[in-house]
Amino acid sequence: MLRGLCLLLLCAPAAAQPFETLEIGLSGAGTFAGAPFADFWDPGPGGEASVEMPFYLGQIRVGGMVSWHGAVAEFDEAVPDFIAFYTFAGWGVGTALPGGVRIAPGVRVGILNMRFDTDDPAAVRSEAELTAGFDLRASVPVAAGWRLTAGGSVVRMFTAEQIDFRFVQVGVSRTFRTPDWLREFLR
Amino acid sequence: MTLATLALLASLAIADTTQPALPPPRPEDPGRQVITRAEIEAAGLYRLPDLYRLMDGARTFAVDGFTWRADFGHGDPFGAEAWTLLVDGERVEFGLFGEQNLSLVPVAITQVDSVEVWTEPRLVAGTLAHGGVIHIHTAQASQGTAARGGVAIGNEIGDPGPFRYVPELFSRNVDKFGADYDALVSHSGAQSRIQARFKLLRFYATDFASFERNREALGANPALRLFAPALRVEADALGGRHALNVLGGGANDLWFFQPFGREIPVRRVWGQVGLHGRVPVSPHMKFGYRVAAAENQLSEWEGAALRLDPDWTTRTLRAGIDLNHRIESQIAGLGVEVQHTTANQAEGFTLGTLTGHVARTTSRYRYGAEGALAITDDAQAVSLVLHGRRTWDGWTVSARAARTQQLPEQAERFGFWLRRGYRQFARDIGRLLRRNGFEQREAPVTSMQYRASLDATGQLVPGLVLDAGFSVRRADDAYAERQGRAPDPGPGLSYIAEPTFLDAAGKSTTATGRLAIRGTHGRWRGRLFYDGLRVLGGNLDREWEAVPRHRAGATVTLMPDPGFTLGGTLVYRSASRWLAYEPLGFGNDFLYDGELPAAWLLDASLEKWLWQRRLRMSLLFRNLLNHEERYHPIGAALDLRFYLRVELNL
Repeated sequence: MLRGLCLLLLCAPAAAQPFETLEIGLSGAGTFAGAPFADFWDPGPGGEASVEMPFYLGQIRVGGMVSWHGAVAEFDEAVPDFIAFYTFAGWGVGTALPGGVRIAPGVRVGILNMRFDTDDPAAVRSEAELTAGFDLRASVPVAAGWRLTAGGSVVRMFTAEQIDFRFVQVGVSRTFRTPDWLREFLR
Repeated sequence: MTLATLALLASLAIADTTQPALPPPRPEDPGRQVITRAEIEAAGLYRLPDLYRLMDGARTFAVDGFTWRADFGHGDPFGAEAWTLLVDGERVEFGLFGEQNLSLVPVAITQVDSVEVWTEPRLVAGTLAHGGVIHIHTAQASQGTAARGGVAIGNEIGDPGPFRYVPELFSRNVDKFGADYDALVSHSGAQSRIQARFKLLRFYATDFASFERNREALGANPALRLFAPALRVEADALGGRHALNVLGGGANDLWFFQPFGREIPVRRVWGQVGLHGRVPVSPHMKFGYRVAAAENQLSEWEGAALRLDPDWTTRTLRAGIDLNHRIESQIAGLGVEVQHTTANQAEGFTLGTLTGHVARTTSRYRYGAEGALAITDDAQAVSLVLHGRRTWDGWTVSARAARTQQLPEQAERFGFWLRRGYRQFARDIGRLLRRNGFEQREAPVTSMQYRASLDATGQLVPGLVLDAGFSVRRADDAYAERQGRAPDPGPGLSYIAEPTFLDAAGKSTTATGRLAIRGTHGRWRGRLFYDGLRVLGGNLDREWEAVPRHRAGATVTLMPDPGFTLGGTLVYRSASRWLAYEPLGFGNDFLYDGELPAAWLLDASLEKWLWQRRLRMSLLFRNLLNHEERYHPIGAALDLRFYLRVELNL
């Protein structure tokens, strides 16, 4: 599967002019993780906002996701709940399918910032960790400029005990022509 | 790890299409390497010592991953930096017992315009640089006012993350870099230029290998902080150019002190004021002058639990003049310099240096000689360098032969100052040296080096350039600090179990070779390189074992657009052994030996300019393969780490 994903990324057609359009997306997001993380925390639903633009090849996408991770009942007293702010930057290549459907595999890196609900001093109440992984997004047009989007990501967090997260997003996006001032800024 | 590596490699593998404005291949004298700002940016370098990564033949080690030491195959392996450092033409006097810590130089990596590197002896700035030259040129507005400032952070993987609250999965936080800040403001007028700059670095040395050791010495979590400001004023007057440089730096440092074989907490402060210039005195003759005053202080890290107060201050005053005469293709020059150095705990010295050079240049040839006579109260040293260069059909070949003598006063190593009365580390030294001490069998004497080198550069085919070099060096009577056998495993601060010999009779013969092929194709730029080192003889075999023999690699840069660059570097570094540390343990539950494994190190960088090149963002990943990257037996293992920098140019 990894090989297929890489081939799709490398063989995809050229994109539009860099930064020509701006696709703003809002999604609901679900987080899933395996043991041992899931033995201690139960990730709750979250929300994601992202901006996607044509890049020199393919598209870049930057965004952020916020979600609440509550301690599982068994460890409610032992480990604190935390709120996760996940900021990421990704790159992918979209492929157009019949019916206006677009599918875009990609790669992403990000920082997952965890703010723990404890009485610790502020300086040690949070942890920020590097993540990297793959994602796959699909979208269909629903109205002029509007698309219904769905996607999934597999992301590894490089802590001493590595944690693999799977994110699922469903939402909508709106595409605009990038304002001239912003295009100039990005170039 | 596979996921991240594949993801980043895939993101680098963007297909080629058209033009780019890649920096040109370095034009040159084959013995000189020029590192341009474009190369620095494309490589995503994070701090100034990262420049070593781009220097041909440089072998480095670091204990903490913050202070990097470099060796270019000279007589005292990893003992001291033999090269001479220049910043904007000013010779910088910031060495401490022969060690030159680039981190302490008041130049942030983003403030570098270019760097010239010579690894062979040459005459420069009034002295004969026995171990070559590193000359850093800082950025300056070409006209009007310009400013740049930046902030950078870095982090290594392996933190506990949420598991810090789960006792059975708990681990300690690992190294964190920054936040670092730097800024530079410059103004260029018709007749004058002014520049002010600073850098502020922070580093949290939390690697398992050193954390407990240093926390015990400090009585607190190890956190280093370094501030280094500088001011440069340049004016055109009397038909020539004159430059005033004010440089300084201060740091709370966990200084790795080779004779102790460990870090000690110290406070380092240094400063220098220098003025140099050149004016024509006739159509064929120029008069040059340079004066400088420098002070180096090494003192106690206030509040540290291990109270090793080095109480060491040196002050250096230096003044020199030279005359350079040029008629058509012939150049000749003479210079004289006097240096007076005093120390708070030792007898100072005065050193005089006479220099001279002649050269002749034609369209195909350049050849000449450089010489220096260094004189103190009781010794003299004579150095001579012969050089020649020939160019034909796109190829340039240069040869140098040198016989250099270096007085102990020119190296200022630890053993030299001990002999002159330095009482060293007044307090608590007994705790550190319970069972050992220094054994100085003889005083440092004038050391001698013979060197021969041959370098060539030329175009193999259009777009493909070959660089090659070969050098043989023999050192006699080199000063070397030779550590005794391994320390005993045990708690706390006990250390080297046998005396450290401060030896003035080091001998070594080494050969180094380098080969690189670089080229550009469309928007791609690449380089394959190999550096090799062979020890041919001498009595420093144990010390040379610590220096990796082979270094090879490839760098690839892709610039899809003038404002966007992707870079990748794969480097192989061969294994090495620090015999004095074999085997050992430090009472911190981690047992190491002196063997450092070979490593394949993959780095990837990404750089994006925004706002019409006013704003620059760069992201650098080091050690993507997450191989064991260690440079010293008691040093940190540098895992996969990332650095993010944002820079504003106005």
